[in-house]
Amino acid sequence: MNTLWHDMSLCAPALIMGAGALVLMMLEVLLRGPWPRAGVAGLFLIAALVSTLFVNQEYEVGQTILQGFIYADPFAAFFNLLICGGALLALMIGESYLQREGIEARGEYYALYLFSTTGALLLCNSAELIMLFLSLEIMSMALYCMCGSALAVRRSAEAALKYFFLGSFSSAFLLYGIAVLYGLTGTMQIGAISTAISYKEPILAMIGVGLMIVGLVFKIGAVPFHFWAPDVYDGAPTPVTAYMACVVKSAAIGVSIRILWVCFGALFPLWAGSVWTIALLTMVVGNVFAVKQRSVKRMLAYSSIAHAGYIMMAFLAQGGTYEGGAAALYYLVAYTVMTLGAFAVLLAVTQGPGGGAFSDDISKFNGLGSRRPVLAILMSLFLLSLAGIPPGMAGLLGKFYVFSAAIKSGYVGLAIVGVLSSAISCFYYLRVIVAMYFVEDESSEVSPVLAAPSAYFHGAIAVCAAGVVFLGIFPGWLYSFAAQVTERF
Amino acid sequence: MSEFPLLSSIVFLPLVGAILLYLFPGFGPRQDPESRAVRAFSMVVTLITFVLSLLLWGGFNPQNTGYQFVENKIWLPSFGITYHVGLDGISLFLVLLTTFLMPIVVLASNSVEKKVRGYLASMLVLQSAMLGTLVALDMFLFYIFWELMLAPMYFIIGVWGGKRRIYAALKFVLYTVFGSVLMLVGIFYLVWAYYQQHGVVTFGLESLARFNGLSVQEEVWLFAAFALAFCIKVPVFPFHTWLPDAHVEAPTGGSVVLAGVMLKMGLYGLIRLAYPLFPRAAELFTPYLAGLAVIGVVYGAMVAWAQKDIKKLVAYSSVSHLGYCVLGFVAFNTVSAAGSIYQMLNHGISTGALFLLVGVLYDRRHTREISEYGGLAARVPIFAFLFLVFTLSSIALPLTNGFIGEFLILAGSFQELPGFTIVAVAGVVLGAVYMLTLYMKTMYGEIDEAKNGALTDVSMRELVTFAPLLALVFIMGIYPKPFLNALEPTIKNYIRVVEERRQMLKSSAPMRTRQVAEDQAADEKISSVSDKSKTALDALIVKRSKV
Repeated sequence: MNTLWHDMSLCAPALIMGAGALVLMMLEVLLRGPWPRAGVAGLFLIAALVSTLFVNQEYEVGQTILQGFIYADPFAAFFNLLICGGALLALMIGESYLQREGIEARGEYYALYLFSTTGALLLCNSAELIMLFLSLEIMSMALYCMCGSALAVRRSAEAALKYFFLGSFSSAFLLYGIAVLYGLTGTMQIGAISTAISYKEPILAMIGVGLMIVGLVFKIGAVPFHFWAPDVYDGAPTPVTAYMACVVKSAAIGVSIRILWVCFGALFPLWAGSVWTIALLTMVVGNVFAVKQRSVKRMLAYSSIAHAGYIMMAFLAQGGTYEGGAAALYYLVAYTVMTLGAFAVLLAVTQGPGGGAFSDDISKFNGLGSRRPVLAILMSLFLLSLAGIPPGMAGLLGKFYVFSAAIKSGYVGLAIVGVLSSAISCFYYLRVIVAMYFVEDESSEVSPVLAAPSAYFHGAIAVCAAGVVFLGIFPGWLYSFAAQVTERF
Repeated sequence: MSEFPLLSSIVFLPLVGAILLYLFPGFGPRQDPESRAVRAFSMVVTLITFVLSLLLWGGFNPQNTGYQFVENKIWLPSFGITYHVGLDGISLFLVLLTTFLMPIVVLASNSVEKKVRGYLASMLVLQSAMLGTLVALDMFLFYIFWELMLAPMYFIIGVWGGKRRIYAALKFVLYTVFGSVLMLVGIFYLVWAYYQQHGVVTFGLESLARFNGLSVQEEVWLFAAFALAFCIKVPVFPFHTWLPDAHVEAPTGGSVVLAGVMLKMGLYGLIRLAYPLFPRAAELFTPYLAGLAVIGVVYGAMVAWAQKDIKKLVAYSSVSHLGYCVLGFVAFNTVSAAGSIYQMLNHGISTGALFLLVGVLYDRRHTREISEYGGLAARVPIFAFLFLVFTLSSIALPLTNGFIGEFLILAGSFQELPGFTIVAVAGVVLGAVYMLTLYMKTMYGEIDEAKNGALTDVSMRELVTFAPLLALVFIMGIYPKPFLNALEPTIKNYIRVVEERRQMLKSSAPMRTRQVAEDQAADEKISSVSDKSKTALDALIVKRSKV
């Protein structure tokens, strides 16, 4: 009994989050009229975040709880923090938008939001393949609904349906891979598979590993399994896009690192080639396709594909300090703050989904530098950081660590392709700056800027900006934390 | 080392100034009194920086050939990255050039009409970045400052530039970024090679410049990666196409900084990083670099001759002049290298002044077409006089600063690379041709009263802008001793160190250790992977037994 309580307490973040989702659903039924749904959801997120800080002390390397279903190790702790923090920020930037567009009023959105976040948390903590699959589905199912939550907008419904079909398809791949692996090793435990798996059955191992990688890479949104991403990111309400680009992507990358390094660590030569290819394609395709986008939202979607490519490059360099682990985790944090920041500004600048096909057009940014100087400066900071140009130091250091890890592990060619594609990325990030500062706003009617973004919004964007600056000047603590977390699993 | 951090305060003072400038009270519309205050504030900041940098010169000991005013603080301990700055004779004068030109640029900013605050803030950030690049002794720090130069210049061209400013700004950034990202790969390769041999991660320039574990082939690739970044910045001949666009579209101040200081960063990078780090590859590349430099000299001059736009002409003349500087440096003897650095200072002064003069004309007539002018000497005599002096300095007339630099370069290079030097001399003649033609066409002949009759001569403020440049043209032309005295020991020592290192690397047995080390590392990796899974299993078993 004590063990159970102890295990449950270690699971507190996910439990609080799940409970929060249920409470929100309940309250929706009981309360009539408007009530602060976002506030209550935010409170649960904060509670989960705080509980993470408390239980982190008891997380140890290799520790599993609840009959070996859940990891309670430092790696899980890192992702608990990242996911709770990211979800909180994404909630804060989207809150006023959702209210304005009437998405919140229908009630179920925030419950779904918490369900999805619960799934993301469990995904990074799962120590068992069935658990992994279930949490992936919890995360995704809620997400499918969230994508379609702008009922009046056809693109939103299209995005949801597309995501649902392709997502189910990829889940099937994952499930098939799990089945093969189970047949091969006779166990579902990630830790046990890592020792049981070998080259004895190379074909089966290849099939199992390959199918798992397909399923996971789909969630990351890497090429060639990225086709859903631009359409879904574009069609979903922008706050959902921000959430997908940061939180969901973080969770998918976290679980991929764990699966590849722990579960298939011994089979490195078997999957290195495919991950190498995927990373390369992802960086090139993401950056090249982003160049021709006129919609800033779509551009950010492709940019998030490209960034996933940089991070996947780090998958090839197993290890903590100086290696891919620390690099990927640092990158994820930097990526989360800068992307959320960029989405926040996008939310403030563009109108709602009802604004027609070109509502996220880059021309919405024309002359922002003189209309809203502070917003424009922050956007420049986020974009420069995404491009990896100082003063956007957080993104620069992220790339610095990732490329450093790749070159240290001998992937010089991949790194060269990476840096060249990252140079391409300067083009489309800078184009937004061109619009904000270099182009005078000639249209007589000044596009309406969100009248008064809420205090939440200001808080979130301030946190993102502070994060970009702070991570850029003092990256050491986060890097050593990330190194320590990925040193041993 | 608890002294006052003079070097850091010089580097970061403009940056702090820029931040204060942005937070300046009165965020509202940019009215005249406000922009006057903004200008005054920037002027004070740049002047203080200049005075502080004079203290550097005062405190600089020319006989000490090592780095001076060194500050070394740990920044990112896990990566061995330090905040390591220092100064030697080479960087000292480029720092002085930067701090000297900035107040002039601020003074010349009155032609900027909109968003003066942003313009000057960008300039100040740019100054910090340039100064940081010049004093950084840590490769990472160097890279950060190097890249930090991009964003402010991008804004300066893009917001305050001419008609095709967006194109020019993007071209400038993309060219430079493509070059420098490959350099980043090179830096990492070098750092990890060093790590394999010595087991220490460091980005310190001094440690890496003593590293001897690279094969010649690796050196060649790394040198190529570094040299590409620097050649784009200089710009050396085939990589120069961004420069005319950037120059023509940039506002006057931007052109002055671009020509005066930023182009020198490319050559400075070759001097500070590429040559000391990869001496053998540098030797192999010398004929190619010299060849490109000479092509740049002649081609730049010929293209300049054909220009119809004054500013474009001056821009191409920069390509030509920087060609001399590169030639002088790659010839690699004390005389020519000293000349090369001296010529960088001269070019900063005379070309900076020429861009300012073009700016003066443009402010009045809003055209830069040569055919629009003619016979100005009679109407604006002071302007004509200034134009003449800087033209002569640019074509290296004796008694002007340009002569000393070009003479040293040609005299020194002739000993090492006679063939290239003979061709480069043709550039001297061509230089005289296009500059004097320009002078003749604009200043002499019949004046077109309708167009240029109302031209006014340089104002008091403009005269104040030009006075220090004018003085330096003659001081550096007649009495170059204080400059060369401070330069010479550093350069002698620099060349000796690089040559010795080259000999040492050549004489040491062909490096096989690295290959062996690589194989070992690969073996270790495979074993560490299986170790990892083993430890995970062990941990799991222990946990289970606890439960």
